[in-house]
Amino acid sequence: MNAEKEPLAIPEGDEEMSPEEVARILQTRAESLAQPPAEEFAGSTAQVVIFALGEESYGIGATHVENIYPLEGLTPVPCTPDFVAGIVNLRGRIFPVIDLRSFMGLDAVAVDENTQVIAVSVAGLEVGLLANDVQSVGAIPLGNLEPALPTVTHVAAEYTRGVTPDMTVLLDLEAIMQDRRMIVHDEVQ
Amino acid sequence: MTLDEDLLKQLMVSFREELTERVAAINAGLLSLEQEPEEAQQVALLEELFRHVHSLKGAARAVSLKPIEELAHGMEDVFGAAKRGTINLSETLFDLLYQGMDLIGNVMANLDTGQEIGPDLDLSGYLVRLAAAWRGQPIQSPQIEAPAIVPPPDSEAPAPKVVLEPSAQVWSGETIRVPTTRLDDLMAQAGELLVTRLRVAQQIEELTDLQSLLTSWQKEWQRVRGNLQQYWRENGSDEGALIHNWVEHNEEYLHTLTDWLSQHTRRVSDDATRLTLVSDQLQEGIKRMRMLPLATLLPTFRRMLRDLARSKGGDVVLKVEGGETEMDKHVLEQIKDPLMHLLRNCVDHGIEPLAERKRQGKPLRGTILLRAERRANFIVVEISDDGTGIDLEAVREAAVRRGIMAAEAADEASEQALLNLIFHSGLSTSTMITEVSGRGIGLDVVRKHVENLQGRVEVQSVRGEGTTFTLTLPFTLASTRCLLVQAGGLPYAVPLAAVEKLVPVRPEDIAVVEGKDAIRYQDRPLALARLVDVLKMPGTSEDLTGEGKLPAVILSAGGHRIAFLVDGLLGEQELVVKNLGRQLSRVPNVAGATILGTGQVVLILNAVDLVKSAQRTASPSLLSIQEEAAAPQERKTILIVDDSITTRTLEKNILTTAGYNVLLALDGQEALSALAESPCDLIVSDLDMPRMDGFELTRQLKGDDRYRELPVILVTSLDSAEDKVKGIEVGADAYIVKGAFDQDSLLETIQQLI
Repeated sequence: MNAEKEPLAIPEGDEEMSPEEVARILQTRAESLAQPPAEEFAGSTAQVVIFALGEESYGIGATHVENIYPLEGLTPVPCTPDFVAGIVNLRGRIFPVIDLRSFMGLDAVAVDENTQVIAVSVAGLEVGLLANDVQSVGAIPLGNLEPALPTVTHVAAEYTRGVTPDMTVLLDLEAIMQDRRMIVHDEVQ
Repeated sequence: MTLDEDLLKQLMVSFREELTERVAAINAGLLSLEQEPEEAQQVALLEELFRHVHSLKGAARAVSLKPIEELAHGMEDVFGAAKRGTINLSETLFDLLYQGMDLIGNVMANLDTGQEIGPDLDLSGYLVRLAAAWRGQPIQSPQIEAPAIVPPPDSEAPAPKVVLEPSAQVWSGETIRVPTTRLDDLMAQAGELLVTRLRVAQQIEELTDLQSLLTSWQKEWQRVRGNLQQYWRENGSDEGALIHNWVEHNEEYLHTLTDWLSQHTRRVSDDATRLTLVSDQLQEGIKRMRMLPLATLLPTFRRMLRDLARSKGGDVVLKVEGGETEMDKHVLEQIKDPLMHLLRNCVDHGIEPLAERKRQGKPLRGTILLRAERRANFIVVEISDDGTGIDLEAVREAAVRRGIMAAEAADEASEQALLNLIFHSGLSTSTMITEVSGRGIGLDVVRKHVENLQGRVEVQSVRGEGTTFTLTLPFTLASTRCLLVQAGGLPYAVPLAAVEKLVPVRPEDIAVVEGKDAIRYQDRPLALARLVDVLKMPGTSEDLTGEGKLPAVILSAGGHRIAFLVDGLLGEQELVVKNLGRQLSRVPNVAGATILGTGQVVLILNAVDLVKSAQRTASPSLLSIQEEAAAPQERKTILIVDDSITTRTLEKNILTTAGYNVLLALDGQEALSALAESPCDLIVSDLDMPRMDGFELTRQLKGDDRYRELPVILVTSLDSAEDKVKGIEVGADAYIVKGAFDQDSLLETIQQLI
């Protein structure tokens, strides 16, 4: 359908238009003028921050990333699940630091003096993600993503958007952060 | 979201604010009007009330909230007529007007939960009654909620009301609304200033070091100088002169440098002092912005007490001292409910009925004193009544009966220990449980609320004279004074308010009592646990061996005490409490975190949680009071007596879902026959029934040795003080009004009785 052309079509001066046609034109105009919600991986390419956790490379949508810091002064928090590596002071604010590999059921991230923290804001939560090495920030094409099969990566498919040809696993950060397990809320019985 | 929806959303936000303010003003105005002030003030009040409902009507129309618009319109008519002098505001009208305000609140509450107006609100019925009331027609509907007042035996006694001493003025002044998040941000930034101050202090130290370097250089020079002078005098030459000049020049240069540096250091030092002063003041100022005076809670209290006094048929004076005492807004919000409950307790249990007070020679009006004052870092709030005091014997007996304390322990228990039992959930010594209070659950919640704020609640009582509850609350929540300890190689902060004592522990001090560690404290065994073990943190911890000794921190919370063994004490500090964010919404044993001046993050522990967690591993015999009674072993049987099949079915559903066996009976007569055949554990009975009503049934049961101990709950749709009194007379154990009937209230009451 040549729906894109419709909004520009200007009816002839003496043409009578039926109410249906008027409605249709107005509708298409409204749609083309309406702003689409900013989608993480919409369109043909996406801005992605690529980082390493252990041997694997992961990518997350750059729209969520607020800043990247070196990991300093990680304080462990008792009585939290393993994927909560601890809390850290980032510019005077307390951020929890999440070990994504641990959360996704894989081996924990090894922490050393080169480890970094990626501060992200997703689904109303602000957390820091452990990263062994932030490798690059840039656009990657979404056209040739492979599904995340077990042969390709151990990461569960529900947390990924796909795998790039050079084996970077694109994570669905929204799915991860909205997972029920992510929020720690336990009482002492 | 379309533009219209957006606009509506914004309008609703401002509407809510306006509604809250106007409702508060109208309630306050009604209360003042009820005191029957003089003519001029009455006129002014009526004008104000009229104006408020009129504006409310318009605002409600703007956001298309028809129910509120109609309610406001109805009340506007009343105030209009009163203003013009064509009607007088009778007690019934006052009751209806208050009801109207409550209905408005209900509509807003329904809106919050997404429903339109609840079908149970019956707005049109209310409006009809309101109109009938002020137009002079008799009110038809049997569902009127205005309670029938029990006429006081002494007919000269005035109609029940709550009088507020003039000292308790409601605080008012110019204000600006500020979202609390903005204040929190400001607090955080003020905290950042602290880090900068420390860095500046560091710089000053380095400057001072620089100064000493120069000084020692000068000293060296002094030593050499003399020799050099001599050498030149003896050996003077042209090159010598050159060097000599250069050296002289250097000396001057050094002098200038030293002077300049010393001046500079002094100035920086002055600036640093000034910075400290200003940032301290700033922090104090921001802390104070979160403060509100206690008096802001007074209108709600007055309203509640008024309603209570009405339904009880007595007179109560509320005296307030120190209403202007300011406290952190969050603390204020959190203690509102506990204070309400304590005040309710005073009216319900404390103040005796008129006849009794007369007999004892007490003033006819019961007095409740609410006093607040600031003591150092705490706010102390006292609620005392001059009523009947706490019956320690009844407490003792109830504790034994409910299995909370063994009989022997109860006999030996001190007065203070018995008094503290009233905070134990499940303990209520009220002869009859009403839905207002007497549930026994309330005081436990009061203590929990207060302890969550890192405060304490205590009670004193003299039988026949009165009872005083004392709440000790932190002055500010923005920062807390904490004890810093080292455990498992990491520092932790413990709120000082929960720390009872610090004691050194040596290996020989530890005894094993029933498999668990304990030390001796105040001549009793006290459970001992290692902090690292309770926190389940890895990391090496000091071992207690041989000659060594380690510090133990005795924490007291929720009525229990545990000693926690740590590796070392790091000191005491006032710390800014930061929460852990939304993702770590509730972590056991951890209350929050703080950032020290050095930038290090330290966890602040939750004393109440710690004590609870330690108890998981502590032996029950170390604790003198058992926690909640164990879950019922077998299914209990409840007999439901009601002549309406709908009600019977509803109640049966509720109870079977909750796990009870249910028997049914049509009326009192059938109930008695059913009981004769199969024993029951509790009876839930309606009042109005053919052949034998609820009162008669209760009377018969309580008069029969076999059934005297059988708990009886009377359920009715009439909220009548008369009936409640009758219920007490026949010996019912609880009385629930169907209007406020919801399954929780019934189930809770049942749980309390069996």
